[in-house]
Amino acid sequence: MTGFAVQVRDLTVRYGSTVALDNVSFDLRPGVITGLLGRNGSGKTTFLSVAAAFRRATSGAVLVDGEDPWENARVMGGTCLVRESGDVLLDEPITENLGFLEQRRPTFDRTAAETLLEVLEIDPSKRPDKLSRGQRSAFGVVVGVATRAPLTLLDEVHLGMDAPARYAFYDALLADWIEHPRTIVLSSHLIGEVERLLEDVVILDHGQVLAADDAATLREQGLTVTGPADAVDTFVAGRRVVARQALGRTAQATVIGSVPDDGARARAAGLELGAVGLQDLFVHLTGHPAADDTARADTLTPQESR
Amino acid sequence: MTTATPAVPSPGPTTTGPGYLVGQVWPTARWLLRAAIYLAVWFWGLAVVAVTIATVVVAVVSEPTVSILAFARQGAIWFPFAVFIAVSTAYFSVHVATGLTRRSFALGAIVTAAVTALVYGGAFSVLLLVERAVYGAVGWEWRFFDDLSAGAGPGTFIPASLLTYLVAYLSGLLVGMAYQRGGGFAGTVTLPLTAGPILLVSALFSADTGPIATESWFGGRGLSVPIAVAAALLVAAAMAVAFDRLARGAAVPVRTT
Repeated sequence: MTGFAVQVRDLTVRYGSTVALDNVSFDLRPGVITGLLGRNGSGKTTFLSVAAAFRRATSGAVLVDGEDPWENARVMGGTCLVRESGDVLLDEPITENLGFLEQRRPTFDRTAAETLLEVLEIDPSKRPDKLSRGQRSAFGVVVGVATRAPLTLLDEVHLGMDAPARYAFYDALLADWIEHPRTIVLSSHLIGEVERLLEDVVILDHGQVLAADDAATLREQGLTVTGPADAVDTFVAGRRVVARQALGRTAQATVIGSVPDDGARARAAGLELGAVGLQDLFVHLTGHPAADDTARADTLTPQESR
Repeated sequence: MTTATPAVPSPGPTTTGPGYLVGQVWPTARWLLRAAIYLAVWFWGLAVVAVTIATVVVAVVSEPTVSILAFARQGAIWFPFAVFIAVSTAYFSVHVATGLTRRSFALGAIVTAAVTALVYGGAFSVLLLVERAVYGAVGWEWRFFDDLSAGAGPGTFIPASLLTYLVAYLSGLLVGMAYQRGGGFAGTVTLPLTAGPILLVSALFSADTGPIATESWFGGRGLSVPIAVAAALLVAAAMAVAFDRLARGAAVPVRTT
């Protein structure tokens, strides 16, 4: 199993007068963990809902494994969308929920689910509606990982989970994906935490695609410059600085865009260059400072990066 | 991965084995029926206890002249009706989220409503016959007197109960789905269409009693049972089709904790 590919073409979804997704097009590669990043209201959940046949598009198309997912038994059966709230039997014990999933999902691995429940310290005799928010989210993670659907969509499933639980989730997800490769889309605000898992990234903003590329290419859209504060400031003068940190006399600045002699200039100035962090890039791309219309107007687009 | 690229030819399906549940209707119905029968056992168990106590009390005070169990008929209509509203609202999201189609949800729920009507109707009929036998053994007069025609016998109350239950349970599904699809306002406005058929079918079988005496509708004569049965079946079929159509186009609502 390598997972389902997803093709999104001119997808528009409206809720009354609100446009949640506005004519977006991108692809998700099969067998890859893709990060779906975006601010609140950017259209992430709407896209995931259409891909999982939870709702219909207003216009355009989403093809999952080459087919329209709506009422498509094969595609729906191979797709698992886990939302923060969890679509489980709230008033049945978790053990009953596992049996329920086992009957409906041929790819569901009950042993994996029980192991993960143990790792995440969830009592399987409890009902989901009796769990704390974090535990309920963790149970959603268990469902998402153990279902092993060819297309696994995890929508902000980490919300409410404490740091140890989140890191256990990331480790379990990665280990399971290595053993059972499939397409995973991970929607999250905690970009710094999930960055290491992501091979591809799609950034949505106000219903439009700001970037859709592999993470390495996106990181090459900018660079971090670290070294003596004065030298850093000189190096980045006149360039677009999207983040700056200082500790004593040492500073690190994140700039968008690069010029051919950056490496030589940095070496000459005793500076270290590094790849830009996805989080900085995300903040830069999705930031809308009211007084910074000029900066907004020349925000990098994915097309610019190629 | 690219953005805004022209549509590429479909790579075609990659799953070779049945990576999804084949034949989804029966597993859906089986799951829903398990819950419905569990609730039915509780309902009729409590009804038997309550009716027994009521019968003893009435027998001590005076002498029973009508079936007391007959009054459980309303409970057997409205309790599962509420349960089927929950099937349309709460279970629907879970069903689709586990990768099953709306079609299997709709058909499984309709099968469940029909079998549940048989279970409730069967239990009700058997218990009425037992009650009648007890009354006969003790020497009391037994008459079925709820909102059916006064003095109706098994030939009326068995089909009347079965069909009223069927329509009520389908109505529960329809009411829930109407609220799911249209929200609070549309769900409420359409209640005469979604829940009204329960009263209509009750009226078809109750010519001369209750708030809706249909004798006046038919020139002083009630409908014959076969005609009432046929009309009730048509109503049930229309409701099942309406529910199926609504369910197949329903979006899974966004839910927050």
